[in-house]
Amino acid sequence: MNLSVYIGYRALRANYKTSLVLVASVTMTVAVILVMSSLLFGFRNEFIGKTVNSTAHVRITSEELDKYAQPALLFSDSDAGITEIQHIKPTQQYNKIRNSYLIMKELEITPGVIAISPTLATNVLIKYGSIIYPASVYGMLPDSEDKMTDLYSKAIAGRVQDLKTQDKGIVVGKIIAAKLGLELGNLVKLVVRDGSSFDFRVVAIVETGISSQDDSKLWVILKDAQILANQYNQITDIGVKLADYESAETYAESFAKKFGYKTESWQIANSNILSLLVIIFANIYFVLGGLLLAAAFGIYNVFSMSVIYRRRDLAIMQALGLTNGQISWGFFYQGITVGIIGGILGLLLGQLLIEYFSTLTFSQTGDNLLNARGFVMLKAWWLYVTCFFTGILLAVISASLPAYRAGTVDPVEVIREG
Amino acid sequence: MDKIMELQDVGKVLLAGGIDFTILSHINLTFYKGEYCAIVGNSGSGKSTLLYLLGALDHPSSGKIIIDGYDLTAMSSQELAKLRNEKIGFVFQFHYILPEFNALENVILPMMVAGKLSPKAQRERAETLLATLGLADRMQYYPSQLSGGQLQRVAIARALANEPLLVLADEPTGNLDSRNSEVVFNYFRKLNEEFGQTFIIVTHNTNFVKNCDRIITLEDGKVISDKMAGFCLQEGRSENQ
Amino acid sequence: MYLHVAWRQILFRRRQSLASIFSVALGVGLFIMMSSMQQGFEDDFTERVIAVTPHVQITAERLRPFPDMGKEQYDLTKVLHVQAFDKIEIINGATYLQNQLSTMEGVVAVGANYTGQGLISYGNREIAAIIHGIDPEKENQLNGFYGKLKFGGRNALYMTSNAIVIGSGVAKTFKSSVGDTLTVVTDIGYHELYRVVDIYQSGITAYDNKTVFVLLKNSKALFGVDGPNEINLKLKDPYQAEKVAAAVADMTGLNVKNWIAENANIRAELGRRKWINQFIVGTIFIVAAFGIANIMTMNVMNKRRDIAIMQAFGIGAGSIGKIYLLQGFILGLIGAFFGVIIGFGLNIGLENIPVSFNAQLTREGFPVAWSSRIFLEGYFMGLVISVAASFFPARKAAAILPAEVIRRG
Repeated sequence: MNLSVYIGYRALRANYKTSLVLVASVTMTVAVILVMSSLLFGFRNEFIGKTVNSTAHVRITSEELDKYAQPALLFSDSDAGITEIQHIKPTQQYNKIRNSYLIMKELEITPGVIAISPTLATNVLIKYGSIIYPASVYGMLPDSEDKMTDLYSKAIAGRVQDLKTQDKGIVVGKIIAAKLGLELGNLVKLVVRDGSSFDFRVVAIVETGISSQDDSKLWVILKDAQILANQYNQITDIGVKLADYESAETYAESFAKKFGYKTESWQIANSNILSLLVIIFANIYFVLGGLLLAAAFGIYNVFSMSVIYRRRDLAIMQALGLTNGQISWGFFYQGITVGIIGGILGLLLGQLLIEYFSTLTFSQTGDNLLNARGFVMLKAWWLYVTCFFTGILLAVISASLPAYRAGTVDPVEVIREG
Repeated sequence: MDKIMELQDVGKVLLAGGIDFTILSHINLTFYKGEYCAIVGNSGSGKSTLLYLLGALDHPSSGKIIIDGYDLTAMSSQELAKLRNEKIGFVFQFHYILPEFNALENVILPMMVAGKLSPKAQRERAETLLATLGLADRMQYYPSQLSGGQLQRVAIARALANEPLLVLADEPTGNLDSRNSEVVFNYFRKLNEEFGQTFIIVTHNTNFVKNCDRIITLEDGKVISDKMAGFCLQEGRSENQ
Repeated sequence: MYLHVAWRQILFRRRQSLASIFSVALGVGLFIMMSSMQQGFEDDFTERVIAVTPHVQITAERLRPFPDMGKEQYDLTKVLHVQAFDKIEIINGATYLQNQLSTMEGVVAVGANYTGQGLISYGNREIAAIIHGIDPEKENQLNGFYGKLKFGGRNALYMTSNAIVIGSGVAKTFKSSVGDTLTVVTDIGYHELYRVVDIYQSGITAYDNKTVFVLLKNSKALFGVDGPNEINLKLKDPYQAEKVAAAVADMTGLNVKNWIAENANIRAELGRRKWINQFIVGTIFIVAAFGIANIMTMNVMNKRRDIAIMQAFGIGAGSIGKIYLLQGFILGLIGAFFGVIIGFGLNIGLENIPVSFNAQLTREGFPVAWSSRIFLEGYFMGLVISVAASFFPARKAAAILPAEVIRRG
């Protein structure tokens, strides 16, 4: 057996209680990092997964890119006087996407686009009994929408497809249904901006998994929405589903340039929440960094003290003919061993905790971003591998400086010290 | 003369590697105040072990030890500690001076434990002791700044700090050169004669042994000879005087 | 005496002592940072919620048809397609009730509103909004209404008939401001123009995005009712809300809500986060304790001879143990102190990090609670951990048999 490994191993065994504590430090650190990462990434992936599954990857809006400039402003730089424009009265004309037919035809042949859904959105009040609730009506073509967001499979009561057959049918989100006490077949009233109201019949209740949607979205057939908004044959948005949702930003840019309308990738649409996620991640990993520091420090100190207190042993080893390198490596191997054992145990402990966390359910649900019933934990191979190597690096790096120092002990000096 | 220590049928057995080693057996000894004794014997005869028992640093496996009327075997560890602090002074072959304190503070330490003197008095006494041992100008020095011989003298001063009834020394000059050894033994004798402190010293140094009032010889864990000023107190194997 | 020895031993091995001190300081600092942040979120949230939610609210009955309606009375086997009646309820005898409630113990202010839903449109955009018909003076007593107005107009709502105050999010969506005319539509088909007289900002994004205010008297025309449908109470101690709500419910027999119950789920979420934080910080403390225990134990092992000689001149085993515990205590004392300083620094850093939480709140930087309780807790924990960590080494030190050690030479 390699001599360094031998002396390193024996040193660990001789001080086994100390070694145990070292291993325990690594174990706990790795376990905690594993669990927290599993939690964080689980949440993030779940959120992103649900989002890209139930909303468009790129949305082409009806806001034109080049708004016409106010004529008066053209003169604002002249010396004729100061120009300030107040109370710009917006036009009553509804935003709509012109040439929508051509745009959709173009999208159909764009590589990477796998589904298109033309929609019209308008805000309404939904009323059932004496309960009134704000909501946004989302007029779409059921089959196109289903191709984009898998809507049919998200029904928890009724069938979304019935929108095609039921006259003035409506699909409501789970949370709205609960708030209004809606069931299949109920008749609800939708009140629109000019004050008139329309009766719609509930044909399905869905759960998309994203609270903000389940709490405010109402799905109807496109033509019914057009009637509600009084905008016949118009659409306000085109939703696009891509083969690769990560590339949404690039597509959004190219669409905007091509069609002249403002586009929104799903990342931008959810930037609030995504940036919140970044903050949470940064925060937790900062603290985990602190944990690593504390553990590294403890390990470094043990090895450092080891070298100091065993100077005589080291001198004797040199006298016996071991090289500096061999002595250093001996300590180094101690570090590696602690790292490997601690890492493995840490993974095991972490996994146990992950399993435990997975079984916990929340007593109060709703209003958290995911409407989740419990912790969503990620179990991915790269997670385990990374944490394992973190553990090893932790031990090895902490041991490396003392290991180096161990090899530089001057035997004559030590023996003279007596 | 007052009897200050008595060993009644004391034995000591040590366990090592699963085997029982009988270090001492059937030791019967009595010590009186003011005695100046040497304990001699070959290595492995059990002299150091006997000394540790005398100093209440260790318990006998069998038998009783009575110091100043107190039965050691019946005392709690706290009581033993108090006894060691107040009545016994120990000097070992190695000085064991604590590195965190300077010479003066090391000598004061046992007095702090006893808590009987005021800090000023403690300091004065420590200074006097060190001065007597020739370390007047080294009192503030830390162990790292003192030689082995000087440290051994500090250790002696420390052992004497609380004016112990009994001074036990285990090869106190083993690590010292001949000049320093002589200083130490002369000092011991002086103390013995001036203050009547009892000295029991384990040693190999034949010069020193010749100066003692009483010589106890151990062999294989038994007392084979106990001679005092020419009188035989015990008989074992006869030996030349 | 113990102190003297313990302190000297700490001084002698300076580097190791510093290492232990650092471990404690790190744990304490991070504990303080995380607790302050956690508490900051809670406090900030609670403050904002309390600012916009009435502590206690009496609401008029809301009718909701339920599936088995009438089944029992009419002995039916199945009930299909329950149709809902249009029936809007108000609180009867509101004035009398308000007077009664204002004399209740713990109640600081009382106000009556009518709150309904409406569609607000401007140009080509429309928003579904919550319309509060209020008495501005009472509303201000309840939650500092005037203070949240951007242009500070106390009499704004009285300045013109059909005046409306819109939430900042609403203003942003419409790109409109004071002076613009909006169209308001409610479910009874009411359709009128309102003029924006001021802009309101509570700081909670969700709220500012869809809330508008009009005068209570307008609700007659807007919703066809002649009275308020909610009475709001402000309490001296918001945390008594549950108790007061129960008392009011008893007294009046009406629906009574309280802010604590209404926000139960968010508080549960905060509670979960707290738990996770504690989990991580707990681990840091344990790892720090391991470090300290290790250092100290190694020290003990290497000072066996010194310990033996101390026993020889009379320091008993118990006292030796005490000396090491004392070391742990002193190290903890110093380490926790530095930890407090680190925690302080981290807190300040957090507060000033340029991050925004616009998803939920309008603010820059993390909300940080400056609580002396947290600092004390952190300090105390550092001390406890340090002493606990020195427990095992102290025991080991006390168990050293002097004879054994000296025998070995």
